[in-house]
Amino acid sequence: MKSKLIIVIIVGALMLAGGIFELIYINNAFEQLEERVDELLEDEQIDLQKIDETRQWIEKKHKGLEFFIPHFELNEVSVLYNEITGAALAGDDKAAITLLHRLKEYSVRLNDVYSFRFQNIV
Amino acid sequence: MVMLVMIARSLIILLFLVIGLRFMGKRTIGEFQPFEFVIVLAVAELASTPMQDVSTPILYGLIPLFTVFIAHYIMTHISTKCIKFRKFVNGQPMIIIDGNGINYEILKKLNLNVNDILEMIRGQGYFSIEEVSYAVIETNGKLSVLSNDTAEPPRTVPATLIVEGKIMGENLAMINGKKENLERIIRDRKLNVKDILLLTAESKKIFIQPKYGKYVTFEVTHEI
Repeated sequence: MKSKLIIVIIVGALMLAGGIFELIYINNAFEQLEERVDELLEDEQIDLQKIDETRQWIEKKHKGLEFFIPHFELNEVSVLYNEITGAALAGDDKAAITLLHRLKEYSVRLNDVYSFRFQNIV
Repeated sequence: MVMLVMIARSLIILLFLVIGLRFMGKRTIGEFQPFEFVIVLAVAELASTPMQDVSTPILYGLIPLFTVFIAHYIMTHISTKCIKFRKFVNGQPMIIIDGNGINYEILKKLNLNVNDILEMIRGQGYFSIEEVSYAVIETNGKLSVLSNDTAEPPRTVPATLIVEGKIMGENLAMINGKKENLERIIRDRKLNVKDILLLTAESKKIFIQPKYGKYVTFEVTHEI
């Protein structure tokens, strides 16, 4: 009986710790994405080097986030970002900026969906 | 590739399910308390989704599973310490048949009908209410019976002629009975069909359980 209680306490603590870690990890990832998108939007012209750096960063984060978020939502982020890369490479800054705004909004919404808040509980 | 992923995920979830269910104890389905039954239903649903949907992280299945198992453990733990909590979660046993026969108020409280009770006592080997001194509906829904050794067991299965104030025409026809005769028997006893919870007949022996009050048994001299 005592060993069961210990297991319950350990598993419960691990779950809580895991939940807090996940919350921080997801929140950080999306906040960083928003910051990166903001930086790209602040520039007068689309900076191809920054676009590529952010793409690599997204690819890296994608793998980590797959443990916590349904894959199709992450795929949406990656596909959207590759559209931005394509538009930037083609010199279509207007399209790239439009898509960057879309990506920022999507990131804000995803962060909300996966955050610990009253609206998500009820 | 997706099939392999599904197999791997199913095995992982199955492993954790077995661990969790072993953690719950060795009860069989029929012995589940109401809250345990709810948990088993929830677990079945929680486990199936992440097995099939490979795009959902497996944690989406495992975390709710463990949460449910931990909640079950905590509830069981509190139940063993606090009787009030145990009553709240599990309910309490109720005496459905006592010295007066079927308790109609308890019957309504438990959302049962007379046929349910007859079926339950038949399952225990008793074919008339008379044969039962006490019957208790346990918190897991099972019926425990204390037999009435002074009552004579029926030789045939008694025909149920009135159930909850309604005459069972088919059963009456089966024993070649007449509605008028039955109504006369009831009138003679200064009763009304609507006030009768159960009336059975075994050859010429009549058993009447009014909705409120003690049951009566008697033999009729004329045909039913």
